[in-house]
Amino acid sequence: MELRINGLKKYYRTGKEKEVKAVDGVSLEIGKGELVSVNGPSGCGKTTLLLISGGLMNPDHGEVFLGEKNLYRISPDVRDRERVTKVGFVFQQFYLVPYINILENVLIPTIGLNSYSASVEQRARDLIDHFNLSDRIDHKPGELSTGERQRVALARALINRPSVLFADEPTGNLDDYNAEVVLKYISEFAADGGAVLLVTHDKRISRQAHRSVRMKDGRFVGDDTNPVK
Amino acid sequence: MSLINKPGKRISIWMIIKNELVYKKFGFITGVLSLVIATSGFVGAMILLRGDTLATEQLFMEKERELRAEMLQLEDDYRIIMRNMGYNVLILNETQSISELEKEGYASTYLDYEDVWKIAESGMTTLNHLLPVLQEKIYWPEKGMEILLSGIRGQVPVYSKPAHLTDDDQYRSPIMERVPEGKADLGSEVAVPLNLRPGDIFTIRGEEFEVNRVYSRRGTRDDLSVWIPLDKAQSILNRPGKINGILALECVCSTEELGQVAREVKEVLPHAQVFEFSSLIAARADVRQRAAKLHEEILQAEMAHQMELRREKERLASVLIILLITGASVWIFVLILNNVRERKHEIGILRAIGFSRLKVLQIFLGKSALMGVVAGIIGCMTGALAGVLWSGTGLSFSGQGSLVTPPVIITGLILAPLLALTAGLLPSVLAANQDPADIIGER
Ligand SMILES: Nc1ncnc2c1ncn2[C@@H]1O[C@H](COP(=O)(O)OP(=O)(O)OP(=O)(O)O)[C@@H](O)[C@H]1O
Ligand SMILES: [Mg+2]
Repeated sequence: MELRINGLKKYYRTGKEKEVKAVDGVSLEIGKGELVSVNGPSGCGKTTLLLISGGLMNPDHGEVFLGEKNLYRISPDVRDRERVTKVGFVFQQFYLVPYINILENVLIPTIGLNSYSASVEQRARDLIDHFNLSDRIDHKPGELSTGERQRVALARALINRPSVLFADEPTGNLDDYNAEVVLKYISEFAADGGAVLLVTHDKRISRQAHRSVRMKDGRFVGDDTNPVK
Repeated sequence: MSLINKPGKRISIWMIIKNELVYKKFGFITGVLSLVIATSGFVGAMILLRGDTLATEQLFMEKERELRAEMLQLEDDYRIIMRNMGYNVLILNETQSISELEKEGYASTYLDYEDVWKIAESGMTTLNHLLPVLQEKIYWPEKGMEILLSGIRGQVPVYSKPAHLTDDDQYRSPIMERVPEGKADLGSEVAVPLNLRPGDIFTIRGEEFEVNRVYSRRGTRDDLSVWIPLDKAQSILNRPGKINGILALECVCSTEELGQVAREVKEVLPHAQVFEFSSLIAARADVRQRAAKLHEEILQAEMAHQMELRREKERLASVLIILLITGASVWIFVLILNNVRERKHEIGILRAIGFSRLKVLQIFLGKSALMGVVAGIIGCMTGALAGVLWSGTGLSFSGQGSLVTPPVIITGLILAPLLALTAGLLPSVLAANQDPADIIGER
């Protein structure tokens, strides 16, 4: 298993007594080559689940295994390192750095790596090429269309050859055509042996997934395994 | 673009800082500007203060020179007055009783004529105008009266005081003129009753003299004196090779030196004693000291005045510098804080995908430091230029090099980055401590 989530709970305490059960007892496993989509209404806890699974937020209860590593039993520094080398993120807001070009944006996750080689940069170029952005390689994010920006974000997520890709509404800002393109690339990553946790409230996207989980009030309330295949 | 294939060159903290600066020029430029104003204010003020110090020193040197010249003039005036007042020291045989000297008006013990030369050649500088005399009250049989017969020769040249001497070792202006061979000078109490005038001939104990000068009345023993050449006096009084006193002018510069002459003479002439008409000497020393004290007081007062002015300027400068530094610090703080706020999402994503806290801290501190370094260099140049130009007007004494000192420039160069780093520290730490999940999970 690339990712194993066990009994996750996350309650946000807002006021004195108010408590939001954002994630309320969720378990999930994703293996190599598997694309799992999580859908559900706004505020049901999808993003929270993704942040915890991706090693960005401590849960109140439960465990997250990334490969063999129990993410929240290791030190924050080691967790950061695990995240950078084994995890890729794509978000609805692409969060590209506006003042550097596409190639440099794609290379950001390599800054912490001990071994930086020309091959890393070549890989970035290959990814950019693969996502049909070669002629935009020197451009700044502000000069790209939204679809192109999300492809840059995807290339950035994949630069360190992660084992798991977390995508939070990656098509939320895209038109149908560009959504299709990005989804195609994400599926491709899974087909190449990657594990994908794709969060969306768009039910249409679920059709592309091997497994589609429905979420409500922090819990899984429905599960369609291999709806396509 | 030659860097493209060089490993490790693509993404770095420096590259992030540099690109962001270019992207957001306004913040950087205004940040640098505020630091430049602070730095150049500091450097300029320091240079102005230094120019002021140099000008004050110059002023003091001139004042001091002026006062010293005045002192010398005063000193000279008093020397002349003292000389006009006559001899103030009498060197006598050690055995001479002073009370008897006072009673009789002349010494009854003797020194060798050679003794005067010993003093003249001893190198002593405290005595001048040495006049050997042989003086005795005698009965003048030819005229039937008592006179004070004084044998003198010219003043013996003191070689350690060459300024007083002519080329042939004569005093330029002796206190007592020599009496020419075969002649005599007369006091008024002698000349007037006897009706003697210059050119008249008279004899003393058979020795013939021509009246050379008749002194006007002085109201002293001198009025009863008849001055004749020393050798004649020695033969008349039957004291060959002897004198009974050496008159001299003591130059005393302070009252503490009173008595020093006595010691010095003792060293040259162990069998002599020194009788000082000390009230004269003390008066002179006193005047001299008073003048020196006045001189000192004038300088002190001027110094105090300048110090007060100086403190005023320093207060002004420090208020100005503190204002500028505070202003620049606040501006940098606001600037970096705002920058952190604006770049919240950027920081969040950078942290999520590979940047450590340290790297985020470096990005913001690096930006602050860069502003500081740039501002330090520009600020030192503009401050130095402004300071030199400003203080240069009307000051011709000093080159620009000595106005701009390395410590001021070094402090200026350190000040700006230090200021920027201090002001930027808190916002940078805030940035580094931002939780990426907070930002990404934000709706
Ligand atoms: N930092 C927070 N503090 C308090 N409550 C939070 C916080 N983040 C999320 N929540 C709440 O937790 C619940 C789950 O939020 P979450 O962002 O995970 O929902 P979501 O399913 O991603 O919604 P959306 O589809 O709109 O993105 C929501 O009710 C939300 O208001
Ligand atoms: Mg969400």
